[in-house]
Amino acid sequence: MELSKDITLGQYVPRDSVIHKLDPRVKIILWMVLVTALFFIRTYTGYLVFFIFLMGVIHLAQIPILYALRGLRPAIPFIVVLFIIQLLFSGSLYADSTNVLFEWSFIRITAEAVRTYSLTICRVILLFFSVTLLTLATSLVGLTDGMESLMSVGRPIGVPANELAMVMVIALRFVPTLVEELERIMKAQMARGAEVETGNFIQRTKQRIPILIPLLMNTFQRAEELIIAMEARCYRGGKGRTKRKTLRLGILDYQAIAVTILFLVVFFSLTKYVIPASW
Amino acid sequence: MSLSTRKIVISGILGAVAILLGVTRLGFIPVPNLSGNATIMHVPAILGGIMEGPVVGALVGLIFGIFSFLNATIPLFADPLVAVVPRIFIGITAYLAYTALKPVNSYLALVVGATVGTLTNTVLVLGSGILRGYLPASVFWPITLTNGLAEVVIASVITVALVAGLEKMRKGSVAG
Repeated sequence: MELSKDITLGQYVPRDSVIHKLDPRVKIILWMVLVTALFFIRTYTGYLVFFIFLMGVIHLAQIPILYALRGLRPAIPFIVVLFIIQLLFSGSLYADSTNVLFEWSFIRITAEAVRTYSLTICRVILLFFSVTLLTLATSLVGLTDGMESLMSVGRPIGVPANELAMVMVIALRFVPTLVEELERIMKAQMARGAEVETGNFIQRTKQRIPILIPLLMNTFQRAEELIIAMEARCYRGGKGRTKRKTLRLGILDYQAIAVTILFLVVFFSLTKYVIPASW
Repeated sequence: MSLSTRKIVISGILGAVAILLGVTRLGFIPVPNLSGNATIMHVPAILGGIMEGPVVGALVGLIFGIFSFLNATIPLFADPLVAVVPRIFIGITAYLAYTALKPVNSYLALVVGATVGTLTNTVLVLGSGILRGYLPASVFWPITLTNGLAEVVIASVITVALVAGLEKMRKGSVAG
C-alpha cells in the first residue's frame, strides 16, 4: 500500500512552451475573460470555433490534444445521464412549443428542449476544457502567486492577499506530509487487524473513522507546532514582505493579451453578423 | 480584515486535509445511487468553523472549493460558481449552528453543526448547479435525500469523535 506514489496534485504538465512561460496573472485574467465570453455563445458553430481556438492553445502549450481530451472521459456517463434526465423532465418548460419530436405519457420532447440542453452541454464541455487548459499549463505555485498578486489590488480596502496566499501555500505544502502520515496510520491500523476498503457502505464508513480521527488529531498537533515556529520567527503577515521571484509582464504576455482580444473581437463580430443564429 | 498566524496555519492545514481526502479517494464513500459517491471532503471545513470560528471555516471551504474546481473530473465543477462559492458557506453555517446550540448541549451542538454544514454543501452545490442550468431541478430531492443523509451521519460521527478527542488532548489526559 503506497499512497504517496500515485498522488498528483493538480494536473500540471511541465513543458517549455510559450503558454507555460506566460505570467500566471495574465493567464488567470485571460482565462476569466474567455470563460465569461463562453456564456454569451448561443450557436453550435460558435462553440465549435471556440473549441478549435482552445485546441490551438493546448497545441501551443505542447500538450498532446488527446491527453487533454482524455480528461473528459470520466465525465461522459455523467453528461449523458444528465442530458437524458433533462430531456425527460423538460415537457412542462416547453409546454407551448409545437415542435414536438416525441410524446408519451408525461414525457414530451421538443426540438427547442433538445437545442437548449445540447447547447448547455457544449458549454459545460468547453468550460471544462478551459479549466483543464489553465491547470495543465500553470503550476499550483504559479496559480497561487498569480492570485496573490491579483488580490493585492484589493489590499487598500482590507483584502489580506498575502495571508490568503500563505493559507494556500501551507495547504499545498502539507499534503505530501499528511499523505505519509496517513500511510503510517493505515498500516498501523491494518497491523492491528483493521479492514480497509471492504464491505458495504456502513462498514466502509466505520472503517474510515479509526483512520481519520488519529490523522486529524496529529494534524492539529502539527498546526500548533507550526504556529509556534512561525511566531518565534516573527511572522506578521504580508506587511513589507518581498518576493524572491517578482512577477513581471514580458513581451509574450502582451502578445497573448493581443491575440485573445483579437480572437474575441473577430469571433463576436462573426457570430453577430455572419453566422446565422440558428446554426 | 486581518488574519492571525493561528487562523492562517489552521486554515492551511485543514485545507490540506480536505485536499488529501480528495487525492487519496479516502474522502469518497461509495453509495449505490446516481452520483455514486458520498463525500466527506467538506468535514475539515465544518471542523474549522466549529473549532476556530467562521473565518477559518470559510477559508478551509475556499481551499476545498478551489481544489475541487482545479481537479474537476465532472464538468459541473469546472464552473467556479458551483465549485467554489457554495463551499465558502459550509464552515460559516456550521459555526452559526454550533454557537447557537452550544449553551443547550455541546454534543447536540456538534451534531447539529455538522448536519447544517453538510446540508449547506449539498443544497448549495446542487442548487447552484440547477440555477446555472447544468442539472435538472428534478435531481434535487433524490440526491439530497440519499447522499445528503449519508453524509450527515458520517460528518456528525467524525465531528463529535474528533472534537471530543481534541478536548481530551488539550486537557492533557491523552498523549497526542
